[in-house]
Amino acid sequence: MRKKNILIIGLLAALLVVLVSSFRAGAESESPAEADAARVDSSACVYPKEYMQTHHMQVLEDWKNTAAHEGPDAVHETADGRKFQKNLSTCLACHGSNRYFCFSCHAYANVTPNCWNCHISPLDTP
Amino acid sequence: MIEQALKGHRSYLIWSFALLALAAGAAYASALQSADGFVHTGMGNNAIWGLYHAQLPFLASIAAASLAMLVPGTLQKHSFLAPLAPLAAFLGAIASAMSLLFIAADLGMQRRILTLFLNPSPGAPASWQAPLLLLFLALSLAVGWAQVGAMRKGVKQAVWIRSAVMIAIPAGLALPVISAFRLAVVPGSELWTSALLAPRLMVSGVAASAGMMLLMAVTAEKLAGFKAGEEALERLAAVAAWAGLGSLALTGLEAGTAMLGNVTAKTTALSLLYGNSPFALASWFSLLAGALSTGFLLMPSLRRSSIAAASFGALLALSVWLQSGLTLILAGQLRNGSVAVGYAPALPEILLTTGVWAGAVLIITVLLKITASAQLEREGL
Amino acid sequence: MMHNDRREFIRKAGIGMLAGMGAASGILTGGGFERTTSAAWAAVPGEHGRRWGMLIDTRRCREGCTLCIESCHHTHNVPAVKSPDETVEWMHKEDGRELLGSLCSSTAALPALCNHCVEPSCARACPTDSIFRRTDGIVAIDYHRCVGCRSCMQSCPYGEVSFNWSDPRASLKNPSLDYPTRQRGVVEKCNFCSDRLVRGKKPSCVEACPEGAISFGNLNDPSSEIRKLLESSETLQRKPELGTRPSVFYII
Ligand code: SF4
Ligand code: SF4
Repeated sequence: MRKKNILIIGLLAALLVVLVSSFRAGAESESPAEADAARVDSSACVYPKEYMQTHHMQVLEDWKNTAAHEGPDAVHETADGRKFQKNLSTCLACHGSNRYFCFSCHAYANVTPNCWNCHISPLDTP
Repeated sequence: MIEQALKGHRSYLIWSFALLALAAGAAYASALQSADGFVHTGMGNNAIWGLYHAQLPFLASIAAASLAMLVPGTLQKHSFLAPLAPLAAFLGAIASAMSLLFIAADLGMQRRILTLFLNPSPGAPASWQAPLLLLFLALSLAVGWAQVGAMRKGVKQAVWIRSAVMIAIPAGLALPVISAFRLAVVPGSELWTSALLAPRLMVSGVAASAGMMLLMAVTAEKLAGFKAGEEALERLAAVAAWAGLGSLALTGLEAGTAMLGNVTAKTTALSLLYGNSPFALASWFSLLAGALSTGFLLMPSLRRSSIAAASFGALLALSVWLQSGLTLILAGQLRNGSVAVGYAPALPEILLTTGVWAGAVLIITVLLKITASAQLEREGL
Repeated sequence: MMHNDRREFIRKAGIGMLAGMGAASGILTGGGFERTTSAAWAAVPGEHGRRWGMLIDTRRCREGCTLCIESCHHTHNVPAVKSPDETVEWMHKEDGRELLGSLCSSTAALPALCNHCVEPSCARACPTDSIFRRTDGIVAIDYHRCVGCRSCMQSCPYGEVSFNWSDPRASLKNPSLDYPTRQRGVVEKCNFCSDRLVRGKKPSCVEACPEGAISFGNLNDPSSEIRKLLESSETLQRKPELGTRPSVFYII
């Protein structure tokens, strides 16, 4: 009987410990940050042009959802080993040179993505 | 049985339409808010949370307390609470639905509301709140509806109701605990980090919901012929009284510890409520009303009169709402007693809050009506 | 006899297991106090990885100077909201006593910003994991996810989180083009210039200070400049008693 009690109390306490420790907001597992400076490579597009024409929204959506939480490791690596910072400004480093690049197409397709609620649109740059 | 909602005395219809109008006001205010953000509220850097969030701990405690009546009423064969069980289930469902509405109203980015369910972080108590409320809402609604149905048809309640109630027990009990833990993550705020907060919410919730059930049952009895039974009413009054006493005792323990220990942080927290604070009036009123109604309900001769019991029950519920609903949040968020900047809710904010409450009262009215006619129908058979 | 022994063993084993688990989960290990004296810093048990930190030498901070704040707010498009009840700030200056408590003898206004706590209470308050601690110790906000419930604002004991009560763009005159703005309904705060760190630059306030009063570096690297400064000076943190373990230090 007593053994059983001890077991039950032990189990309950263990459960409590696990619960309480799950309430401690800690760091996401620390790893030595190797992502350092200047990784923005905007010399060639992340994916081939044809793919980007139809799938840029998925790529951007993925970056949008993961970049902040990956923090220093928010780097997109392509199949051929090129690395890109997951950031809209990576795209705009090239495409920003044509200020109508996004808008002419979005106007034609009648879509209004909400990127420019926060990101400064090339149309607003001097 | 739904058709019973649309039929009734003129006074019933007028009352319902008035409530409906108030609820429409809430819809208007919420449209205003989604267009322009929080500019139409009294919230700002000095009052980070306002009327909306202030409802949450109280409603969580009501939801949990509904279990106190639902569980014995459902699981025990000859409980005096059996006739009140569906009512308790609906009370729990309505409290959790209201909580969800107030959570939604309080979001700066309402169109991201699904994020609350899609991206929880288990380490944060707040993550558990919305999903658990939704679960509890579904369970209590299903239980209440099935029970009224069984009552109307005069059959035994379905077997699954027992399992639904068994799942609802931990979910419901977790609600006030999570409400308290959500506040406990704020370091340095003694009012919120008190370990007595969760038990206080639970006990005062039982007092308040018993008080509200008294009011509801007696009103429905006088106006719609609903029958709760004299014994059930008297026992309900006793539950309200003893829970009220427990809640007062916990308040007293907290105050006593703060004053005897004379720890600055604790006495400051106390003075945020009762001292030189914009909420002192509400806090003292809540304390006195609680003491008064508990005192009267403790007297057997008084609580035998259903009208007196209902009025004091309502007073007790009001006192608890002021304490764990309003002042807990509004005073608790003041970081420094000396710069207690008051918070005055703006009109749209008040409209939205009263509108949600009016909607809840409307639903309760309709449910009581349906339950009462189900009872009558059954007797007519 | 045999029976008793076994009973005893089970009891002891149970206690031992619980204690072990407590220690493993970090509950029973050291208190929340950060070591702020040189001797203690030298003895910091190896914390691995990077922990960005900042050290503000208040002796060098000029009275009335707000260059660090202006630079920060311009770099990150922090709106200059007029209404005092709706201000948005990443950095501000505050009375030293208010900031650091009675240990601080100066009542001069000192710079204050998010402390990028090791145990951030803001993160423990967020229902959606939108404010969180990165692997390099920076407490960041995911502006794409924040639902605007203001729990983090409520639970930061330093009041370092701001909410966009109104449209921030309305209060931005001359935005810098390579950083986004925020929108109405989300919170914001200092990001320790993670946007500049990734490009190999120092935080904007560090560069802006004409007196070089602000140093920045990896607190977990014993050879970093900031660690050497920490080890050779007496420093203070804001409200260390709360156990949040701030990564911003002040030399008085
Ligand atoms: S200072 Fe405040 S906002 Fe910054 S990490 Fe600490 S608790 Fe969070
Ligand atoms: S306001 Fe945003 S970041 Fe802060 S707690 Fe709420 S969801 Fe999280």
